[in-house]
Amino acid sequence: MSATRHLQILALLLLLGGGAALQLRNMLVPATFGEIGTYRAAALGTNAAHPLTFPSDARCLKCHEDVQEERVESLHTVVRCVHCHGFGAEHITQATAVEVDSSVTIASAQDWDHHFPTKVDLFITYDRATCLACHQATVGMPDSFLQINVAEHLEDQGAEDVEDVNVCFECHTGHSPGL
Amino acid sequence: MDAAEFIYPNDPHVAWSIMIVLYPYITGLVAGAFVVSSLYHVFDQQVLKPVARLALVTALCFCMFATLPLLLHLHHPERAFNIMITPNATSAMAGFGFIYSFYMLLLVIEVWLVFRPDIVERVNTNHGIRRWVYLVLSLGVPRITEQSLKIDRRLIRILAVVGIPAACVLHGYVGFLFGAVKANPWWSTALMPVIFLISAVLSGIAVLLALYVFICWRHQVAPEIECLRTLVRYLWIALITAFSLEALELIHMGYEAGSEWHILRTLLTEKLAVSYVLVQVIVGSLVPLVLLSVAVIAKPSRRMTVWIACIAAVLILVQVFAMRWNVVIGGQLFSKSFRGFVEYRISWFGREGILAAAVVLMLPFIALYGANRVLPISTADDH
Repeated sequence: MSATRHLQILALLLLLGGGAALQLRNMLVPATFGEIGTYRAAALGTNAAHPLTFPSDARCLKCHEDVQEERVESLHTVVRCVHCHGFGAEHITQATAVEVDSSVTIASAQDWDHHFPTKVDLFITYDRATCLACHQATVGMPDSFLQINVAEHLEDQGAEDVEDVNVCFECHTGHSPGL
Repeated sequence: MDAAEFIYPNDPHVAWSIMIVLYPYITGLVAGAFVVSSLYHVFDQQVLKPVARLALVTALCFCMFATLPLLLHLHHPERAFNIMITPNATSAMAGFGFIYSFYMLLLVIEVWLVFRPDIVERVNTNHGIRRWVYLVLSLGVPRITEQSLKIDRRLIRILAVVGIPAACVLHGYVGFLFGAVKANPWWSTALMPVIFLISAVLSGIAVLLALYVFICWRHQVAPEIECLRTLVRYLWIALITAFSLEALELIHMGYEAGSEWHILRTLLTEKLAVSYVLVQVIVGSLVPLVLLSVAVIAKPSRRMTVWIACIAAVLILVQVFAMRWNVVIGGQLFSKSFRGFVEYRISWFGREGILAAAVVLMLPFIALYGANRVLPISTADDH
């Protein structure tokens, strides 16, 4: 009997084991994995197919070019549309449908429900609460960020109706607050 | 300057628990035990023959459970194999699966070759199911010839030579992972892989020494004094090297006194006062250093050498565990703000509790006991 018979059997077992491991790996690696990077390339399509919930400004400004013109020189050019108008997913779906079928109507913006993580799809806020969400003086905010003490600010500026929810818009507009 | 209690809101938790402490501890014991077995198989240190087999099987038994703490730590352990199925070539962590598998395979083959004569002998002296078990273990070749033994011995030597860098990579890699976390000044140093490796060798020699003395005591035989003295000498050298490297790293940090030094100083002197200063430095390093120095330089009696070796080995095993604890947990106790600390609260129960950790630590010893029932690992046969 060969003196290396046990080693030949061992080598055979290792080859079989290695082959089985490779086969198993081929079965387990998902299709399209590694085509672009260390992930499944098809995942990009899967993610892109998810319903739109958080539109970029570019999506809004495609139709509302005038708003971009209004705010281009203003400090609010960095404020995203969704901050003051909601996600607008349904609104965008309707607007996209209009491109194909002109008989589709786009619903009007709804009243704001005074709640930022709101269920209201699209709203137009003429409400001091929107402004104060960012501009009310808060401990820890950098000094460079414009903050106000509401009562003092309204008194200093001589506001007509200090109780009015629209009081900010006596002097400012949302897209270009004039600061 | 005292550290103010200011922590970033995104790092209030210690994410890597005691299981991540156990992982480098166990792989360290694997690497250390293997290095001792290589001293016999590669460097022909005949004096270590009584522990050569024990070292190899100890390495295998600890290696079998090296991944267990990681799996217990993972919230989705079933995803662990993804690291090997779809590895990211630029991730050091992805290398672990391959390094570990290669090393485990190498260990299994080497152990099999070392014990083949015993397996074959048992095929021929047993009957029934036991014979079948040994026959399977012999891969259906229950014969040994002088020629095959010669080939096996050459192969064992080759595997032992290849195994040394493999063992070093297996454990050095763990240190590399910690050393590569640049956001953490307690970890981020190029010395980390070397520190981990030397302390691994230290813990490996210590566990073998303790096991050897324990097995001799169980079999009521006296340990081979020359073997014991050689192990004590290696333990002494490894301790001096490990302690010097760790001290060098700390002195370097202190002398540089970078922006992070104030938090590290507070960490070591207050938060880790017990586990670092008392356990790792005083009880785990300085006391064994004195004991081993006495054993090596003064050459005391056999009985005294055994006692010194045992006490020093146990203290060093505690020290290396404390070192892993201080690195892994200690490195997460301070916020990345460097101005505040967080707490690590460990529970008794649960997947990452003290009880689970104790069981994980016990399992390699149980495996060793089981292996000893099947094959002659203990030194009694060598006497």
